[in-house]
Amino acid sequence: MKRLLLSSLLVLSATPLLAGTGKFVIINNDPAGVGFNDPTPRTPVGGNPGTTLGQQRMNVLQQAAARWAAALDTNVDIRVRAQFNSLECDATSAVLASANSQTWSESFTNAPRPNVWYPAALANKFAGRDLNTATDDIFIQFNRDLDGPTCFGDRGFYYGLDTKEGDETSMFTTAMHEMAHGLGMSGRGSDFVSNKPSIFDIYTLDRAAGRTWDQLSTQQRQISGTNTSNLVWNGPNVTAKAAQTLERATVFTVTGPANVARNYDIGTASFGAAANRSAIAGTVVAARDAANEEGPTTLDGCTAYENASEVAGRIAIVDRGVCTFVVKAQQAQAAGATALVIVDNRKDTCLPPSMAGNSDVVTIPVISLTQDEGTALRNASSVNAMLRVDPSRFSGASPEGYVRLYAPCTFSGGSSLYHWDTPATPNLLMEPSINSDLIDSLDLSLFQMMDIGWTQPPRTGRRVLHR
Amino acid sequence: MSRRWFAVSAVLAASLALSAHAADPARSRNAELPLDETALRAMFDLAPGVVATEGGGTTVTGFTVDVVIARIGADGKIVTACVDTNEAAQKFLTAPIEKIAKPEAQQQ
Repeated sequence: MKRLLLSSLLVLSATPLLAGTGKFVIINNDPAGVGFNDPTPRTPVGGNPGTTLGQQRMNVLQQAAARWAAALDTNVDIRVRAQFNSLECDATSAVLASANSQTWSESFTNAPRPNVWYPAALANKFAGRDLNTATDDIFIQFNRDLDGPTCFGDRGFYYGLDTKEGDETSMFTTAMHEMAHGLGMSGRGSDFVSNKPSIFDIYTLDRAAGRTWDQLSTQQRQISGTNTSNLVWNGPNVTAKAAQTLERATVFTVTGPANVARNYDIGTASFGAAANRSAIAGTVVAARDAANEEGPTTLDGCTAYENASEVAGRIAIVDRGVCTFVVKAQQAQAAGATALVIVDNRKDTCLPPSMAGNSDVVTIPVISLTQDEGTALRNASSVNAMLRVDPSRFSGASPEGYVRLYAPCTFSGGSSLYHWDTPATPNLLMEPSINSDLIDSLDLSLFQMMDIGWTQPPRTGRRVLHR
Repeated sequence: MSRRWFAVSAVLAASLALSAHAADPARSRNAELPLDETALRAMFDLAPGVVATEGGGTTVTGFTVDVVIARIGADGKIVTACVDTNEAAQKFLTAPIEKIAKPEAQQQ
């Protein structure tokens, strides 16, 4: 009845259908005058021709749906219930959006794997019919207060379609990201329903355990969820496309002494010589500076080195903190170091941090290491190392070529299993942050969909209905 | 009432209640207060339940909800995090401002 009422009240429009018979159906669940129906006049922006706030919002959602619709094939309508709601926010924090597959099904007719949960839209595709007509497949909501005067300062959604959001957040990218969660980049975490895995779990491999999540106990999965760098996606489509999508990894290779000899993941800097263009080799020397007001320890490298003669011509290593990365780099360069290694001073993510800053002066490469790894190198003697591009590895992928999943050793910085890991370069749509440098691409997320069972249409283009 | 229809009714009722709450224009906003933890928690706590059983298959609710939250970092740039638990959301929202900067934005 609810669905019939909605259908009778709302206008239907469509884009061309080129493959399959299913459509993306967007159900505008907002009441008159608000959200997708907000009549506030707006100037067209960034390729979005809408002249009201509501029109611009709907145009963005339709465009995001069209992007996914062109990539996925199904004969069953994908029903997306969408709303702009008043969600939590204050002057500096806000909920931007949320999404989920409203239902999950297992052991339905034509299910590829028995006793495995599939998200609604994918289950319907396999079943060839809507398995649950009482509930729409995907629910997606956005914060309508973001465009108001008090919520999140003056930072509203950007409704352009050209990914030129500047200091705002792109609703288009956010919608593409959230739809991916609704289509299958999701699951139930470590706590399975009825002790059955989701299709996502089938391809979630813990490298250290050598098992996928469906083969682990609940307790093992909880531990695995924070196994930084070792949780990967082993689906064949993503793995095959990783080399075409990700840049080759730049690594810090320690050749001796034996107890620390191996490749180390690094964070890179936005200033100085590009790490991936720097072939630096030499001995690693701990820099020592005065403990003073500019830096309270002798390891922070914030002031002129007292052992500059030892550092000259070698790779300096200092601690993170107190002063900026640029200041540390300037001190290392002034001492004659060929490169600078900065050891992280926190364990929030277990990943070496990327480093921002601007400097026309710094010309040496600057890299970071995690606290544990950097401390181990500092405490070792006569460490020989080289900074190099590893032709056999890709950024954000394991040595075996599996793309890493986000598994921070703590929950800091946002946490969800259903994202790619942050070292991936270039940035990917399904990293845990909505990055501002994304282009209109589904990148590896499309192939993650292929791995769980989605198929691509023989041609691009799928009907998107707006009700 | 059969188990199936009971479950369907419960899900619909919960869904409608959530929509009504979220769309209520009377909800007040205070720019000085932190985000309300109870409201945030409600976004993640979907009630699990069976909504259909037929042909040997089962359809349920209550899987993960992915929520995009944002803060304005110390450098004035927006930092986002997509989280699927209230604990992760709280960790992000309560972290010192200098620690929530986007990796590309960290200056020291």
